[in-house]
Amino acid sequence: MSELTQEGVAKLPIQERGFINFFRKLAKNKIAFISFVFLLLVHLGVFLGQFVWTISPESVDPANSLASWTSEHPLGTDDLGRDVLARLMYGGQITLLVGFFSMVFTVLVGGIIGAVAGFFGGWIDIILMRFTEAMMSIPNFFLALVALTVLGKSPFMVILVIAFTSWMEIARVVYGETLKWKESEFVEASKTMGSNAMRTLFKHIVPQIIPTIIIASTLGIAWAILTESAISYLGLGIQPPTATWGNMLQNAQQYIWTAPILGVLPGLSITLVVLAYNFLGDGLRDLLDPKHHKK
Amino acid sequence: MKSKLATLLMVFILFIAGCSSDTNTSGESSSGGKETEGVSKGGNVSIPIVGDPIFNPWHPNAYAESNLVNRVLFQGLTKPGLDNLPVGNLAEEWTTSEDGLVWTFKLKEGVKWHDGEEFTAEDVAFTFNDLVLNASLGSNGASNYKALDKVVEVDDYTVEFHLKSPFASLPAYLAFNSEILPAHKFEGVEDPWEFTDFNKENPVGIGSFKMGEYISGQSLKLVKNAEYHNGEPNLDSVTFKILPDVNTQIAQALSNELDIFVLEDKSSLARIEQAENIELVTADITRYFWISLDMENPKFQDVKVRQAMLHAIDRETIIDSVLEGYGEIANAAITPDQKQYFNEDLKTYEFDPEKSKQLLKEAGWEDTDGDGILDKDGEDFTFQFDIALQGDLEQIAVLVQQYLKDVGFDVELNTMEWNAMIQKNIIDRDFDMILNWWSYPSDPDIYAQYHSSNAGTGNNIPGYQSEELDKLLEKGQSTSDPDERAVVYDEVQEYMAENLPYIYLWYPKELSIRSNRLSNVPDMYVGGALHYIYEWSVTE
Repeated sequence: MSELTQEGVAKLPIQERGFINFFRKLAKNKIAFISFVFLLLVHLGVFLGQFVWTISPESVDPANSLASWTSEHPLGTDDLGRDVLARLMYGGQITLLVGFFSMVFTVLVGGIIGAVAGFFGGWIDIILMRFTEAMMSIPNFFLALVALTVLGKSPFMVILVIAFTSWMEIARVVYGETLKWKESEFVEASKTMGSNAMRTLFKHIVPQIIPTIIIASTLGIAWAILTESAISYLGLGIQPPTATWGNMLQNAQQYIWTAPILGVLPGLSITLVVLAYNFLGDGLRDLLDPKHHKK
Repeated sequence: MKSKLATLLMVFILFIAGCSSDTNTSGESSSGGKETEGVSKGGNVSIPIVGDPIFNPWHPNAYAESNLVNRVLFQGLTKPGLDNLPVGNLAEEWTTSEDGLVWTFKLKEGVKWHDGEEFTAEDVAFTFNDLVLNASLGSNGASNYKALDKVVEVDDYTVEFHLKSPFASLPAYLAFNSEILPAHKFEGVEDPWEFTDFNKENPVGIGSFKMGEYISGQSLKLVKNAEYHNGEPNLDSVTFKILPDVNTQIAQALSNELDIFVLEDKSSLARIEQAENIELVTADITRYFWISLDMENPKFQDVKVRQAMLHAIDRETIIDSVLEGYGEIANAAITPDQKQYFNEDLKTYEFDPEKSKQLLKEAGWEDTDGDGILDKDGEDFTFQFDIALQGDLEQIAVLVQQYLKDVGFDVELNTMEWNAMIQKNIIDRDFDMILNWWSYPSDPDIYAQYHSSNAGTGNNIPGYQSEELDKLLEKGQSTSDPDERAVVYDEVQEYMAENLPYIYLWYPKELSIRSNRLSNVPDMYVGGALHYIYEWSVTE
């Protein structure tokens, strides 16, 4: 990126220029930038690694269990002789996908409820926001455990359950933002010019809230990854033999005395990715929050 | 392993030599059931249990978490002897009538309950007539006494067990989780399972230790019963700690906070072997692991399918890896510790995926559409495999699933918490395939798990029904001559190996952890040794 001179950037179409400027700014926040690069590498490794490292993560070889690090198994094998590197990659895919899609659903549900309640007000506001508060008063982790026990444990179900137990925070943030922008002059103008409510909401208010949503999403991914790991750790998440970082951690606990590395690897992966998402979220907030913008 | 046992013996001998300071060496070894002179008195032994216990061996919810405690608090009419054959306990001796339908037990006199009341025939009659045989109560263990008609009090110290059909294994079953309860405490109690003052708080037992302090969810302390009928215990107290997690158990054993327990998961074996304060003890145990298939599902009714499944599973490798070698391949339900009855020349199913595929083909199952899954008449061979998260079960299940997938079964794993598994698979009988184990008294009478009358609700979990097997089991139960029984049970085992009512996996060896400070623990499995806890002693 540093090769692009100021003139070079200027020649690019306006949208791309914004994109590069954005990264310039992001690069100034070292921690956020390092986190971003780290996450990029992790995602590339996890999703493309399988084309390089083709060993199946589910093929067992009990005679060769708990093997140490060799060229055949760079990160050794687990208790059933499965390749740990392959499991980390495939497990990472599931964990990151669950994290991402849970976030998408969370934002969709929370965003729509918050925006609609804030914009329309009145009885819609009362019903939706009281419902949100009611949901918040239920300990959501236990709600998730109960829901998974009843509904089954497929990855799709895990995503839905995480999303539907964690949208309330975003709904409240979006609700607050919508209330704030609803009173602004350009919204008033749009209304007086006869634009319908939906158009006003999505054309004028929602774009103002997007930075907030982006920040909330990065933090949401981190939260979803942690929740998936916790659920899998308790054995209620995605079922074996499918690997996730959470259930790899759960399997490893039996080997805490004899092969602690089995727990360290997925544990470290979860910690670093969650940490990176949090740093990135903080960095984006500094960047996108208008108050910080003025500095 | 031999050298390990030898070391253990050395430690034992050195230890005994060390603590018999009064040079009065009686020449008795610690392996006998008799009290060794010069053992140290006092001290406490700590044992882990997996959940809050119920102080009532017949309670429908009393399982593994309660059995060990009840064995110490209460007493049965008999108990397992050191050779595993039943010996007298609350009953001194017994005789059978000619036709085998009436058993007369002579009870010990002068035995007192922990509240000072005397133990009499009334207690025995109450336990069996009012609890076990009261069908409306559904007591835990009732299915073991299907042959029992009633118990009759002859006088204060004599009872008669009247049977519907001969039941040669009665003394063995009386030694197995069949402790007697005090009739006087249950007077006027309407629902004995709701009698929480007794079942959960203040039980009145008759065993070597009595109720001390109980903190729910944490620990239960039992204190010495100096009046114990087999002699005053050496220990002052026994503490049962509620610790379901194997890793916590191991950590506490390493730091001398636990003294004895069965190692249900061998993952940490290498770490334990290095520890200097504990010994690993192996023992024979009457227990076998199996896979149960839903016999009402037509897919599993073809014996060739079941045989193919067994050929597809590499049991040898699972035993070597997951069980660390502590087990041997099973071909039927009768365990090798019952030397008199165990048939070692049974048909066995070696690991042979090709043979497995061949058998499946003969049964009509073949992968015709090339998707890697067996099919027949356009239907894939798909089923669910439920497994409880307990010990090493999940690990075993993942391996079995992989082996079955390799020959073309489409198996989906579903892990469950233990109690949820009991409810869904055992109580509701809702499963395609499960994997678990049976343990039973050291006696070949396995009627409860195989007879058609126990399909659907009793212990016949797969719901296997066969007139041929029923007849053999009935004959075995009513035959008392050991040689004649051996002939019948040989046939039973041959039938099982051929027809696979359950898919037999292996007979595990019990591997237990025992602290070096423990002595005088008889040389048998932990559950059996607990019957002799009054002889145990510790050095501080």
